[in-house]
Amino acid sequence: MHNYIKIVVAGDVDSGKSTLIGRYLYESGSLNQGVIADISQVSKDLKRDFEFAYLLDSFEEERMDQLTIDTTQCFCKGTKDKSMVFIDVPGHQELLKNMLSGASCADIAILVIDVGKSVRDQTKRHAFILKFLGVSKIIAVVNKMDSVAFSQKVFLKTKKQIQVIFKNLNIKFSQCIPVSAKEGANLTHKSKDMLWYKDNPLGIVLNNIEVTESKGHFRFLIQDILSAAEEKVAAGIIISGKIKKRDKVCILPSKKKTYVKTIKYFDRNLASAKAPQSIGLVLGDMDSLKRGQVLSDNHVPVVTRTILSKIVCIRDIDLNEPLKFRCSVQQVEVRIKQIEHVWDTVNLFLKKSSPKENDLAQVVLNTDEKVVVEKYKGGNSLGRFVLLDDQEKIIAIGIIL
Amino acid sequence: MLYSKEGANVLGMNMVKDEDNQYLEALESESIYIIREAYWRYRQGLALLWSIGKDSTTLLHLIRKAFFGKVPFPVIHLDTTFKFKEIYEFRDHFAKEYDLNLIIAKNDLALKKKMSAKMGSFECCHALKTKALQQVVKRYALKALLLAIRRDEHLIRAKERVFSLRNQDFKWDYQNQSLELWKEYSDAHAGRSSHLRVHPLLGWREIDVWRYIKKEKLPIASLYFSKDGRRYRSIGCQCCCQSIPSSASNIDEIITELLKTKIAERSGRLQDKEKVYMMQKLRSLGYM
Repeated sequence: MHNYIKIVVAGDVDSGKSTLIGRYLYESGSLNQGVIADISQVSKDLKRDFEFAYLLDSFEEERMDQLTIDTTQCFCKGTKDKSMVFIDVPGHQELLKNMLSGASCADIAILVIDVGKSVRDQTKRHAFILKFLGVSKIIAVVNKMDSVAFSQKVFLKTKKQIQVIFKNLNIKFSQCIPVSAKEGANLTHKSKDMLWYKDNPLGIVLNNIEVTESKGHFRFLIQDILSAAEEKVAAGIIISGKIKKRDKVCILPSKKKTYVKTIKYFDRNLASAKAPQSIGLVLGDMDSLKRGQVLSDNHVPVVTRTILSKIVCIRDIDLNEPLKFRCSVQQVEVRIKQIEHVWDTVNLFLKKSSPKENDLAQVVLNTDEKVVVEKYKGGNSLGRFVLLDDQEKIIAIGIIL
Repeated sequence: MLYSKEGANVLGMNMVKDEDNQYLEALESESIYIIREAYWRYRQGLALLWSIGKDSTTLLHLIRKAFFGKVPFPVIHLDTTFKFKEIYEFRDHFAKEYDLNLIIAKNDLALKKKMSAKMGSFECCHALKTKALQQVVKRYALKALLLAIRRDEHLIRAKERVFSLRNQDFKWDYQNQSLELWKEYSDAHAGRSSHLRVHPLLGWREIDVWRYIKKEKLPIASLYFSKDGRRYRSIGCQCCCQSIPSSASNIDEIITELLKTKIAERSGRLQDKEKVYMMQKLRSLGYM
């Protein structure tokens, strides 16, 4: 359990995501005087009212155009012992990769919908991406309630649309909160303008969320073979489970069995270690150890050259294009052997074409060498991957089925 | 002893709690993972930028942890010649104690022409830091640099990636940053760029750094601690950084102060403040 949560704020362009975070930071007392003075000055220079979005949109270009270009992360004070990190992402369709950069590390998500605009394509796409990435909880926030005179009727209409989308995507519908980010209504405090809303404001919902860490079997990623005091050490990170001296481990993909001789940490040895520690291991058998291998306990993950997966495409992809498969420390040559289905990421309609930018596809991958993978359960590193082109540029992100 | 060993002997009101410890351990592990990723990819082309301040000294410690006590690549100090005397002494002391391959980088030509903050802080920062960095990157054929910047320091730094390329002209193409997700740090087009910036502390907060310094008992420049009612919260060049009123004379008191303060960390740093977007402009040209 960690005492802070990462919250991505997603939604369509102009739904008020940056304003919502900025106002929340302000209301929660997370801002320092300097930054408030700076934003006042910039807002004045641009002949605008105090613009909370500028706290996130720090680039001159973003402020001039009032459009978030790139993702930003901001720390926020929570109540009790908790801290929060808000991740702002652009809503614009062409900026999907910047949205993914921000959303991929989130524990939970807030999906912002402009009450005046009903639910549009990009809202659906963002909801889909959040579900795809395995974000465990999505809170719907209906923004700009001030623009509809805080009408319960209009809110309920929007809420209904969101329920339909969540149902289609198999997302659990929990909270749906009417807010006005601009006026600070229902953010940290309950709004007097919406007394018909009986549930908690956003702040209470966020502060009550507990993120539990997934427990799992011992998995260690070998990043490098280094030396410590003239001794060869496999340096890497425990991504799940724990290990102690003398424990038996399996080296993958070769499935060779050995044991833990020494656990190295900084300038000393440890008796045991657990996720998420970065350590070094000296094994009974150090021959042929190299970067990219994975150590496991006797619950061995899948070792294979054929992977069934779902991918979201950052650009158009062709069958049999030479690509690279990267899953944390593992990287091998790969080809898409078969494209089983292609869907658009808005309505999840089946498409007849090959996968284009922003599409979802179910594909069978064929790697050149054996890789170590697991079914994606949300958060497990061995269950997700990226595809790279020959320039090492990420062209698709994927999860293993 | 010129530097403070506060962390080594202070047991006070801010005992590091268990959950804080777990949180710090998770931050440490993630940073070490990033450092090792950079080393695996760049080996001889990698170096640390060490300003001798609290953040890069923390990063230096993380590097020593990542490599079991050693620092297997050069450590660069961008020396504007306007740093505090204590900073130079701290540098030389620990360069020796940690057996560092220390490179002191100065823009000699600009210094010969009497470059200083009097000629404008933008001009001075650009010449004595960015240009000096350009020169050392070229001289040692460096391909990647470890830097201790953090998102919570500045709104512009909040936009950064962990792996962030600088193009052939040394520039940060901030409108076209790469996709970065999970543990899949990408250095696409690294071959055609000047160098890669690697930011292992990007997700740390100021208070995390202090809690970690306390937990790990790290030595730290005494300029950070209150003397005659003032202390430095962020340390740069003597001419361009101001102390803040503070009575915090040890790490516990600094942590307590940070929990209450409404003053920005870099409020005493001139290059952040002079004009709006100055930091964006400096950074787009290759500043840290």
